Amino acid sequence: MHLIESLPAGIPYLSLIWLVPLLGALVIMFLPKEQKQAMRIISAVVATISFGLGLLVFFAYDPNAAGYMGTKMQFVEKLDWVPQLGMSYLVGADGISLPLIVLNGLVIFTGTFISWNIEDRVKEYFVLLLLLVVGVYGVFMALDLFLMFVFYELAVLPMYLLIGIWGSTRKEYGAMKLTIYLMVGSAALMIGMVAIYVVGGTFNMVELSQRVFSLEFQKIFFLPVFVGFAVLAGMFPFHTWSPTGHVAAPTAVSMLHAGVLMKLGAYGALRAALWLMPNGAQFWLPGIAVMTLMNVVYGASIAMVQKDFKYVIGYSSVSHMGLVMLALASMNETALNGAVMQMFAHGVMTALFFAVVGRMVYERTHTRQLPELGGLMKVMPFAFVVFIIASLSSMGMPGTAGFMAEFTIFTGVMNQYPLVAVVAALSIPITAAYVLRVGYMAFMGEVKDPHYHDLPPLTWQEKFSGTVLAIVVIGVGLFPSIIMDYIATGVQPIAQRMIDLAGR
Amino acid sequence: MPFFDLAWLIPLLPLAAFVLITLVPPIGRSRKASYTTALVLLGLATVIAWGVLAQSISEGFPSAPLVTSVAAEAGQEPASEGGHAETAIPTFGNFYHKSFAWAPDGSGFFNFGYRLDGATVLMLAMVTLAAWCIHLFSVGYMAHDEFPAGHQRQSRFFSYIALFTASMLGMTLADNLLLFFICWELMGLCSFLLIGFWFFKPSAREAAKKAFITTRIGDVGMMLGMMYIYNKSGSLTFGHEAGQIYNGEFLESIKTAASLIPGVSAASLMAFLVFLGTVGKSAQFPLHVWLPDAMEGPTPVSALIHAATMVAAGVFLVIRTFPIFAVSDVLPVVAFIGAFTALFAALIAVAQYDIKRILAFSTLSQLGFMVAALGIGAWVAALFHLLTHAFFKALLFLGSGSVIHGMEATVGHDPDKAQDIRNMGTLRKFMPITFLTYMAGFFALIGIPPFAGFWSKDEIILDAFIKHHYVVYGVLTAAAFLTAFYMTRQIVVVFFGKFRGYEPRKAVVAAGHGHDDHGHGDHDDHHHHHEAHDPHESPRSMTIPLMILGLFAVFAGFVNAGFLGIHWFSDYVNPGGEIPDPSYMVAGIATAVALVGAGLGVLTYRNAFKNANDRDPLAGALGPIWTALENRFYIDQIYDKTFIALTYGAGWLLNWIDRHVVDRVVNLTGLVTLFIGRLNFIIDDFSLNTVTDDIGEGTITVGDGVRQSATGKIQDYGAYIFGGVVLLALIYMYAF
Repeated sequence: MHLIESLPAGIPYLSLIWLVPLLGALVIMFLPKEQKQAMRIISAVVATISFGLGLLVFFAYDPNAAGYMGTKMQFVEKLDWVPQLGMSYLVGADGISLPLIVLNGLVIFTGTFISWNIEDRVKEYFVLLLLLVVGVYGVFMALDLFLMFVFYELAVLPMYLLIGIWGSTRKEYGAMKLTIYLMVGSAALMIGMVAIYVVGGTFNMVELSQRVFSLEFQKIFFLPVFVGFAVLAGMFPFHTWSPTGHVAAPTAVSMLHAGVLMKLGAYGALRAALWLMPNGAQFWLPGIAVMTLMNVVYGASIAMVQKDFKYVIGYSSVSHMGLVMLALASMNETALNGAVMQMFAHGVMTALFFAVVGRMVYERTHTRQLPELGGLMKVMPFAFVVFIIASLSSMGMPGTAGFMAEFTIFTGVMNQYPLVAVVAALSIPITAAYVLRVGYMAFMGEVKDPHYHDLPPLTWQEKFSGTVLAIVVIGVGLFPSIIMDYIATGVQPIAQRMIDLAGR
Repeated sequence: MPFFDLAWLIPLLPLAAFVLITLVPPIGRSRKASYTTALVLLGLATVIAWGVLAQSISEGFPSAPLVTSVAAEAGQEPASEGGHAETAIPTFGNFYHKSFAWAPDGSGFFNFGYRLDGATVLMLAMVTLAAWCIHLFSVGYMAHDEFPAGHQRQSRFFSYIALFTASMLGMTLADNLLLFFICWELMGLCSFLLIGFWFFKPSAREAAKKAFITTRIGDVGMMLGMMYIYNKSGSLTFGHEAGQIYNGEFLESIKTAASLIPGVSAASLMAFLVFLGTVGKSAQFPLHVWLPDAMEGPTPVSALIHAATMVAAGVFLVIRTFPIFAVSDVLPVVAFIGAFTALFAALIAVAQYDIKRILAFSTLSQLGFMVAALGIGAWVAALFHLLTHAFFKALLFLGSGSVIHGMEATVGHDPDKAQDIRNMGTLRKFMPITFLTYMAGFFALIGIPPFAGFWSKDEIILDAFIKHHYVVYGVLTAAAFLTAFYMTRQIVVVFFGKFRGYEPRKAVVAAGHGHDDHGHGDHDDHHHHHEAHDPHESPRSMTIPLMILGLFAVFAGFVNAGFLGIHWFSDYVNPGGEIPDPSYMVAGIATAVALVGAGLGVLTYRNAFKNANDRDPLAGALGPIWTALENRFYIDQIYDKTFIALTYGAGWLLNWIDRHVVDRVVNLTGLVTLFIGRLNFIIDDFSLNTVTDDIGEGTITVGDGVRQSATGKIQDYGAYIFGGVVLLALIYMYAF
């Protein structure tokens, strides 16, 4: 008997996952300003509960069972919302969304602990952080296009305030830039969404996915939907918001931002654009594959010459997310598997990177300039070890999550566009080079500043978060099937539809 | 005998040693407990590996390869039309295969298992034994190793080499290319960690980085090659069944199938990409630059990883995928690269002074011999040379370690002094066991009968001659001559003549070693100089491994001694394969060349180096050529000025473009938003709150950003160039 059958029925598991943090945000809102510790604890508790619920749903999901309307969607909940306009509260999860729901839970779970030291406007900070998380959860589980859009906007808005208030290094500029970009993306998205509704007559994505739009329609409206989401995934040339945003954001926000928020873009592109309009994909994606090549190689090259530690990680995200977009653009099953795997792997790895760089290093040394750092291995060996683990994953070393992701992506891309794969592979040695470069500059050699010897030791919250993320990086690396098996069942129908409708 | 079923333990035992040392604090904290753990577990693995060998000899392997008629015809039918005979597709004989569902996902992509056949089993036997000897040697060699920060790093050392050994053994046993690649990458990682083991030395750190990145360039090629194979065949498993990569129909199909490069068959492209992995890992020209620098690692590491096992893995990779090479057209490329490296590295070795670097270049050169052998289709000879070379080169490296260890008693713990052969001399009197075993390795390397290297090198040269690859034959013979010469130079200067270590060379740093003179500061602080002491023989834990390896250096060649009618080795790894008739002429010429080289070496260096500061006699005679050799043909400098500078330059340029060109587009959007924002501000005056305030401030900041970004012609050019590249790519995509 599968776990799903032993769970009590009638409980809205998916809704609970996002309702719990929302509830937490509401409670914190009504607490007096001085109760900082209580806010932190509440935030940690709701993050833990929603992470736990996410894991429960993940393990309870039965990849072999059929789900909602002949798809693999399980845990489906449906409430009418605006029936006249075909809008409904429709959520469900399949093999693609489940790992990402778990990822979001993991990052907010560790991110809360990383944010323990926030002292300035604690209340607003945690309320916004939890709202951001609610939005992200919603996007990953929404099956109604309009609902997805609402959650998407909900996720983007708190970002602006979080960066603008608690950020560093040109924070207003970073926040504004990010918001403008994402709003431009939303606008494009809106156009596509309305068009789909007008022609399809509903926002229900499952229904829409069983309908075949005309070739002309797909050719015209694939692009705004795809690009609208791809902006959030940092696709070239709409990527410059991302490194600036990462750098400006406070640590936990960088973790969520690079770790999860960018995945919203890739997820949306897969779910809304590729699933609903496969012929549009086949028309546009070969060109887009070339554009993503810019992300992959260009991002890696730029990462290699940065002086700011966070910029290196920021541009490495551009490069790694480029691989995800490239995999989406390759459209075959292997590549799509790799894309989702990479979303997960990159999310965990980059959260770990930002935890080390933003919190452990920057908040102690108060500089992220690589030439001013050095010898930190002696001062904070724990930070060094987890940084190395994240680095290994970043360069795709076997035994870490990054290997399976990168390997699967390249196998898929090689099948579709061999030349593109060859060029994209240039990024692999470049990645090794920049990762080793920053590792050497920050951690090796002599301690640059004698004050570094007196830095406060790492707190247990930092060590706890770092350890959890590092364990996931290695655990998924050693047993990729934990996630791969789910992803494969989720991706298969999309890839199959792509094949069925090819050559129309 | 149950050994076949236990073979999966062979890599897992050293892996267990790694895990125990790393995760169990009582073991990790004690030097003795950690080396004992590593030695015992690896010892068990060695017993199993040799047990597998014994079982395979007494019982044979159970499964016969499923050879279809297509492959059999292609394999056995000699090409009738002139030129070189078509390369035979090997079957690797009978085998034993066992598969585990490591992570079942239905596709079989993650089904890992192990495959035992002749080639694998001999590799296992060699790797376990050599690794065990080197572990034992390290116990003595690393005993005095102290770290500036007072870390207990001895146990770390043993955990790393145990992990390395596990990876190497795992790679050898792998039944598919994916697992092979995973272990291959892990070896690269261990190599990185161990080259940089003395990470407080900047030169060691840089060498580690260089090794990692350089081999990674090759690995990318290999990875793409694997993916190409996977996409064509549907699996990466070594085997003859349908869908596996030795399958006759598959080979037949890729032989003629077109690849994306016009005029190149799919098989050729696959083989070429896979071969890039070999070029990186086995340090063949042009990716050879990392190996000499890798000598920054502790000497046992050089012996294990950078002489006996990991660098030979590239050769093993080609052997494992040889059926694909056999139906491709890249073998001449392989032969060219191998022969070129053999000669090129031998030339450089003539002008080096560091005892380990001479051996490093010698390793490059010998790997070149093996690769050249692969290129002419003589994979059996390549494997034979791989195995004998592993033993005698490990012996020579450990011997050099013993020499360095002894020298440190006189000149102190300074690699520049302790490893410079000009500071040595007459060491045979101080360290007789080291001397005798070193001589065994020396005779094996230069190919004097009946030492091991003679038989294996002779077989490569013989194959080249018989198969009419006269250019390869000539180049390899020249390389063999140089080998005899530079090794004799080393022997004469190190073990004979006058001992010059009491007054070592002044700090005149030899060219090409410029980066060596940093970072020894910390090191010296923690070691006392023993100026007055004589060099001494090494402890028993170091001399016993030398003696074991010495036995193999003397006798290992007899497994395939053609002149004595023994071809057990050929029959074992390639049953039914063609066995070349031994030729007294070829062997005679090879031996004569070696003797002449050695004789010239003795004549040149007999009276050289009365004093540690003397010049090399050839330096004057050769002039600028010598300087070029000493600087390794300036390849490193050329790479620095070209590829590395270009890569960084591109990074800077793209960064600049990203900030000033791509970003400007955003700022324009910002201006538009500013306008709309102002409009909103007027309309929406009443609902003013903090949020819109912030947006207003933000837009003003963005507006400022626009004003600040300078305008100029260069930026426009940058934008045009950049846009042009993208446009061209798009045109390419849609037009073709």
